[in-house]
Amino acid sequence: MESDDYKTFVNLLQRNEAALRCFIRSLLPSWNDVDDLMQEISLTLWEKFSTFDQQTEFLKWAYVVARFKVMNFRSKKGRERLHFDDDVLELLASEIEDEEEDEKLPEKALHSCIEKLPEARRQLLLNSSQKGVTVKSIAEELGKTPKSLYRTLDRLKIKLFECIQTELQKDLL
Amino acid sequence: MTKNDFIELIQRLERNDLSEDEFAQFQELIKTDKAYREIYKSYMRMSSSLTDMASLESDDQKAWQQESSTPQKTPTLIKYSGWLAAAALLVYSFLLPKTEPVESIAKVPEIEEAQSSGVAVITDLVDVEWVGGSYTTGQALGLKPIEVSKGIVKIEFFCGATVVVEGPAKLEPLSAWKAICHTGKLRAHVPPAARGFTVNVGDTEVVDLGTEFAIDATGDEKTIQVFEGEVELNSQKLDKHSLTTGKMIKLKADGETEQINQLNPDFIGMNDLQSLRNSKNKEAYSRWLSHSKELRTDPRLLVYYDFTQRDFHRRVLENNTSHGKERSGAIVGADQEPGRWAEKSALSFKQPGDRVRIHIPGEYTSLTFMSWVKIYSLDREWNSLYLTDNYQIGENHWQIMKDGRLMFSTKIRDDFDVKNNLHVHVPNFSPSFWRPEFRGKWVHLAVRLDVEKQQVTHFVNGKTFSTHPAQKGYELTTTRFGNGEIGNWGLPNRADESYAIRNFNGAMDEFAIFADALSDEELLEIYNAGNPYK
Repeated sequence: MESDDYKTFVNLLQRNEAALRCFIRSLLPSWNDVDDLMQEISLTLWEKFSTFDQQTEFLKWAYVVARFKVMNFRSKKGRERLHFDDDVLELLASEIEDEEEDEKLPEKALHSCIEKLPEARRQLLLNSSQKGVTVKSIAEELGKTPKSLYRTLDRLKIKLFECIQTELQKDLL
Repeated sequence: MTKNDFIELIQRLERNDLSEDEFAQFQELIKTDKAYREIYKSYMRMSSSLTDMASLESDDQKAWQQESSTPQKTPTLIKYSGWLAAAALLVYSFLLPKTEPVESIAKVPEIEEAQSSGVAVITDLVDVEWVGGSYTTGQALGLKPIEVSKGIVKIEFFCGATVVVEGPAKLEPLSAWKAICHTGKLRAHVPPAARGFTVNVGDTEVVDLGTEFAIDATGDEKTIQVFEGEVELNSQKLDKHSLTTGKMIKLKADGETEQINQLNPDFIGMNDLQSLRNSKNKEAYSRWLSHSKELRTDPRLLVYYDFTQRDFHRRVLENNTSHGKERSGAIVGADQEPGRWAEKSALSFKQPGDRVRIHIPGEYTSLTFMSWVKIYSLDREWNSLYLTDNYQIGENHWQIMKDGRLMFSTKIRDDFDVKNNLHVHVPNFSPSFWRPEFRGKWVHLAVRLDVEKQQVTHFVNGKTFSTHPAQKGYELTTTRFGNGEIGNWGLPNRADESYAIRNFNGAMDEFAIFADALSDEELLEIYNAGNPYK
């Protein structure tokens, strides 16, 4: 029945949405808003879902579809922004595709590191990381120049990144 | 190039702010050096997760706005796109059209808020027994079937349609506009804004074109009837059959249909449910009142405010223990509002100045605090439940953190970290208890300081929530109060606003402090006696 299929699909997509989005972001770093593309990809995934062998891993299958879509997107819109050459894109995509499940989203580390940030900083970082929120608008709100806000955010993210790397190291010990 | 220089390149690349040359160099690094590639992938992973995490709440809101502002135009549209358009909108924010950039700073997301996404909300429950998952009033429903073996459930779909379901029944929301009635009886009220609301029963689709219809799917023979207005029935057999006021159609097990010009009045509607609710509330109130009257005589009580007094204009919160007026509270600012039941009041704390000042003399050991509160929002870093004016040895602070953690601390030693201008103490933080469905609903909170067991325990709705053994060097001994405040903090001696302003944003309709450690059973009993949602 169509509805059962759809439920299975929604479920699978929901579980893998974050990984998929991350995949696209990594291949198209200068497009930080990948919603449209993500929408296009999920519709294609649904259209092709009948061809998906449910015994195999959904994410791997989705990656293949997504990689193809990203290539398309890049040739269509590539002029607008910086984008990777084919060989780099292929290299990154195949490396991410080969990653093991637990390597993909060290969310626990992210959460615990975010917790460690001072409240105001954490708030600023989360506010500015929301989809559709521009740093420019937040800078205006705070009476700062975008440039100085970018500096603050960049430093915060480096700090957060270092924290995550350390946390992940800990897990290996 | 240092690691940080490299990350800086990633950051600028993310905002498309690299020159061609810089980008060429960046690509070269990524291509030739695995170490850089790993850093790049990890960083992008963080970046992406951060967006996901930050966007959880705002997506819910967008999805909701989208859904509610796009009524399905025709029944055929629902039929055709049902799944992908309606259901997916809520599950999948990215299937939405792109929205304009948000101009102002959005709220800090509460991660748990994601749970409040859904397609409908339960607004009343009477005598319900759940089969499988259970729900509470105020809780949102997702795309999972709900099933009851008895009782009445009132569900408001986000499209605006209200459905009263009588158990035994099984209902499965498919979107904010659509549900399947697997079994049971339901009566749907569909205002103009929700026209197009659809219920599937068997292989028949019932599309409401306005006002009120009912479905009985208790047996093999199912009936659909229209109290007022018109519905459209779609199935292979019926093919767009219209049913109007006063008409009923029987769908027989053998697939035949029969139209009848008479209605079965035996469906619980919104008015019936409301009178049922009213009598339930009366019962619950008198149950609580008799329990409360007995509680007043408990010699362990230091203060007990039950909020049964008629007037609040004299600005006195009456204490109902043997200590009498001496321990009554002085209300400042806070207004009277309805309590858990229409028969009694609560105090509403809204303005930064609102508070109740109380004075409790003497020295004690173990203590138990409890209160029925309704939280509108956790605005402050610290949101006061009860705080002593100062924070001297033996004095206690009971508050809720902005992120929903409960905090109880007793000053044990007089150490002071001069450099950071901080008391050295060991606060007992629970994990966050806050759930989206708690907003604006009565919640019972309690905390127990047990000197004998040397531990502090937080309780939410009658159950142990977290336990904190006393730390070495910070053993619990004598406790004191003096002057203190409910819902605020009286005498902050620091200029830092985020530290000093701690007013509670919500309502309170019972508050007690006991000079003893109440047992788990006693706290559960108090909760059960006062639970307005029972």
